[in-house]
Amino acid sequence: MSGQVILIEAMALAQTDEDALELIVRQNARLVYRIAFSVLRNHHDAEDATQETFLRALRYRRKLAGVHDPRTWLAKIAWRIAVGKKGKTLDSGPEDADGVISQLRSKNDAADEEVLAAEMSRLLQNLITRLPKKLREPLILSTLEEISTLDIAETLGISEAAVRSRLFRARQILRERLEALTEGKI
Amino acid sequence: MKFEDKHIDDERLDELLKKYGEAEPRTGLEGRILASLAAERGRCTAPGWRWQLMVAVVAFGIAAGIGLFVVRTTRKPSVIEVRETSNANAGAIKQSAMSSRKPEIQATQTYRRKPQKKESHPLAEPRLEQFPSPAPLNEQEELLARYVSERPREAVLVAKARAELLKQDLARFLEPPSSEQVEDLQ
Repeated sequence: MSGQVILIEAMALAQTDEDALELIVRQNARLVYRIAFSVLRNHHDAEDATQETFLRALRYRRKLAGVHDPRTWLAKIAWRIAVGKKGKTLDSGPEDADGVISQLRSKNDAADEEVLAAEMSRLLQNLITRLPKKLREPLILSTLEEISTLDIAETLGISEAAVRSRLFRARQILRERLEALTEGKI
Repeated sequence: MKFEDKHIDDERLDELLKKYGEAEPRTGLEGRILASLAAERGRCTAPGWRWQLMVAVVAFGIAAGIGLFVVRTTRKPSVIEVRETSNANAGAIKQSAMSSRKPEIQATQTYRRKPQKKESHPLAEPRLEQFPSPAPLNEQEELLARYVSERPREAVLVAKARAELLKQDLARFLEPPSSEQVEDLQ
């Protein structure tokens, strides 16, 4: 029995709307937060977006009864809110990748794994931000382990096949750029 | 993780993306969300000040409407009254052309009403209690009035004598001229 089915059954057992909503919060708060963070890359903003997602769910709780999968429904709301909050900054130019690479090289001497990982994450974020929106969005969602390809497709409103092809292309571009950066071609 | 690893295979990319997507909310996120939901729900259900404000605004609007209606309905008859009075007095005014307050009566006779202008500014015109409006007494009239109030008997006698004289003058004027007078004129 999947988690989704358990959630739906638990909702059916819940006596009131309030109980159902509380259950949904407890089951999905972490997922919603992680979706928001994957877009916003800031804990404070991600928490704000999470709160807003559940407030919106409260406002439209009557629709919840007709929702097939509340988890995907919430994921979609969270995604829209996060993208809306990010707004233009998501499409704005990333910080200089060369600067990050030079920092990586200098820190490589110290062999500080943690700092290296953090810097690598920054570099990756930089490269992901440079990706076209069509490729970037499924890739960001795919980094969340709780979300399947089908969920991504439903959240973005595209087909599962499109998600797969876009993910493949995005990963290919990322790999090439990372290799080029580490070889010093860029 | 070594930065010198230039070849980025799928496994390595997965590892990097997984780290990119890792984000844990601060502890107590669910509690905070539930608290904000409870606050929002309370705001929605409580008889808030918005309702009171709305009721007050509606009541004020109704009162203003009634007030305006009453003012308009009371203004219209007064205008009609003025017109009727002016028409009724027109004959009397013409007949009393010989009285001492000639200039005032003439002004009343030449009074021209502009209905459109009056309707557009109904409140600009002062309401008349008496028509025609009484003009202030001139110096001679004031002296006469004082004399009448101080010595009413004598005033009556003077008035009678004056009336007698006027009658005689009028009779003399209406008399057919004598043959002598006709000859004088010729």
